[in-house]
Amino acid sequence: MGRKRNYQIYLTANIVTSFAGGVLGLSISFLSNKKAVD
Amino acid sequence: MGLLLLAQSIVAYYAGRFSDIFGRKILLILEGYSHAIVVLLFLFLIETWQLYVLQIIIGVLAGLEASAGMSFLGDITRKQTRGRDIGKYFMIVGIISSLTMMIGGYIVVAVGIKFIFIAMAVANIISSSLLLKIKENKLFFTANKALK
Repeated sequence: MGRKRNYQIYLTANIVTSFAGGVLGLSISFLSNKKAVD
Repeated sequence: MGLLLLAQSIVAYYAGRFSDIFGRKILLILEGYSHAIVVLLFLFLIETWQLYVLQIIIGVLAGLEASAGMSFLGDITRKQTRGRDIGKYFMIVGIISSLTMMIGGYIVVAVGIKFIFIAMAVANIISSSLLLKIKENKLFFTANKALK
């Protein structure tokens, strides 16, 4: 029971970050390229 | 990216050892809150070297998350269904990440790059706060600590 609960919490927590995570990767790449050009 | 991967790879081993002694929960929570701070620091970048430093720090945090997270998934899944449960976890998280990455360009144009970094910091804070609810078997890690 405890394992299942922990699994659900961990999955939910990572779903929250994965929403922003995909866009963040792009943003960091964009920023890196911009700085490299500058 | 090379710096990030190098830092991630070196830290992964030590993070794994550390998580065996002190538990996965504390590492995952520290990683989440630290990630929120680091992401916000991207908003204040001036020099190129600062970008490299932040990439290395993100690599360190990714190394922490990789080892502690994978070990934690092993801890909280049953041997009989471990493959299925871990596969399900990576499928759900991966699909959401890839979908947001696909429409990421539009989102960045629509809301601006600053908003993305702030949203990521908020997401990390929410996520780490959720992890506070995890109940970890402290006895196991105390025993490991005694063995060291």
